Amino acid sequence: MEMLGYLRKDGRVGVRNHIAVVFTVECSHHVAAQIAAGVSGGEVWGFPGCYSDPHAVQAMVACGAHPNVGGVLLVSLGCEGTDLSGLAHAISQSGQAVEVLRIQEAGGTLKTIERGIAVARGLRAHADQAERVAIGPQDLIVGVECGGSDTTSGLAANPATGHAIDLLVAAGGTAIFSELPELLGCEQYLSSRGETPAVREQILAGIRRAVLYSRAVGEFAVSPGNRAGGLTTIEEKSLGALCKAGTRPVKGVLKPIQRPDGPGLWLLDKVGDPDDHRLTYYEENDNDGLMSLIASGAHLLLFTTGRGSVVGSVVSPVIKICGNPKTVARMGDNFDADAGRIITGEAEVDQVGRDIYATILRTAGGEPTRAEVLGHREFHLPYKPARACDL
Amino acid sequence: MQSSLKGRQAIVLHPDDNVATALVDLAPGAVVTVSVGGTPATLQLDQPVPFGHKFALRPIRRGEQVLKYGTSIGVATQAIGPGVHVHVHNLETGYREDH
Repeated sequence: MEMLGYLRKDGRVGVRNHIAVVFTVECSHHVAAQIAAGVSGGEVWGFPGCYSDPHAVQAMVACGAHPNVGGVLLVSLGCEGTDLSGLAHAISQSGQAVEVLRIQEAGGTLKTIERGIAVARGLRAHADQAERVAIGPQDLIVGVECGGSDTTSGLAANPATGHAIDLLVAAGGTAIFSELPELLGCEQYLSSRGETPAVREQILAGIRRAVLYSRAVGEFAVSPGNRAGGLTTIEEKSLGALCKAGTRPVKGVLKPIQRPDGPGLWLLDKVGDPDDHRLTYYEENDNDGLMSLIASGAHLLLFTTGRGSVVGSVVSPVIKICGNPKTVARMGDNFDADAGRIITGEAEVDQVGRDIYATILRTAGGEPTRAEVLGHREFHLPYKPARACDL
Repeated sequence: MQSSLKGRQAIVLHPDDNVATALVDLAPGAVVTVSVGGTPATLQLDQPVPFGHKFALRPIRRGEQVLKYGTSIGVATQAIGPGVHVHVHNLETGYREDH
């Protein structure tokens, strides 16, 4: 099957052609949402804070310039702290089409919505002219994430997803994994997979910060629930999470917003410095994690679950993989891949891995994921005052 | 107790592993066949092993690494025979936070 992507001015290719309607403060969220609803392929997302935040601005630039986006309309109230012109300029550096509306100047809610829909439709017409080019796995960056995990996660959905990632990397593709605080206890094994001594040291440095972070927030443990579920040690729990990243060497360690500069498997290190009193949260929820993978260039996301997560994302499609057969029976409409067959004995890990890999290619070719069909477009872009990128 | 779901009772995640993980609640006396890298292995359990819990595939010496995913998940604190439940009573972390 031939896959066609969208060729962007910066040379990257996208697998979607969204019009992003971006609010630059919560005050313009409603107006932006109304505009997005009035244009085909329109998506709303943004940053709610009134006081500008360097990480949020970088994330908005990265997501606005993302190759899955064919045009950007920034919707501002007019008096928030974020530098609107600077933001528009930074996004346009990639060659992206960017328009700006300020509600206070445009004449309030109704006039801004009316004008915004007209502007967004103009962006749509422009985006529809994007050149279509044949793409393959070598053009894809795929992020992996998990949420709503249970006993089956480390036995079914994560190993199968890891197999799919190995297939992608073998085909010349690129993958990103993160969630370092969930990998405590397997740093010797993980660092041994670093491709160079420098990468091995970066992995260990990230884990050292993750240990400090986990101690600070009291998450450094195998919980009683984990124990009851059969997990005995921290390294066992961590290996169950790590296996969704497959078994390939780790090419390099990315800081937030950085993109991989070549194919292979990359680790995204988002852990800030817990000695810095400004660090309050490492990651607030699963969508926060998905946005960081997207900001690092992920075209597609693989999301493993056991208890059953329903979320999707803006910008990049989310492929849901569930490994608990009871959850699949209860809410199967939410999942793209059924790894519960591993638990029931209907399929082997590598078979489900091949199915997930085929789903990656179909999704890249334009087939909507379950989360897309169901309208899931969650996003979360919080303040992040202390981050790995500052260290 | 036999599995009602196509008969898979336990899974071995890597051919090097010395433990399997139960995919159903297994009762004492259960005869369990698992695939170790495509090769079938059959064991008899002498203890209950609940869903998600581990049992040894072969004799594990005291002090030996317990392997799952082909990687160490800790150290056996006593000798463990084939088919014996492996959990907090005979397996401890090999992880030291401070290294």
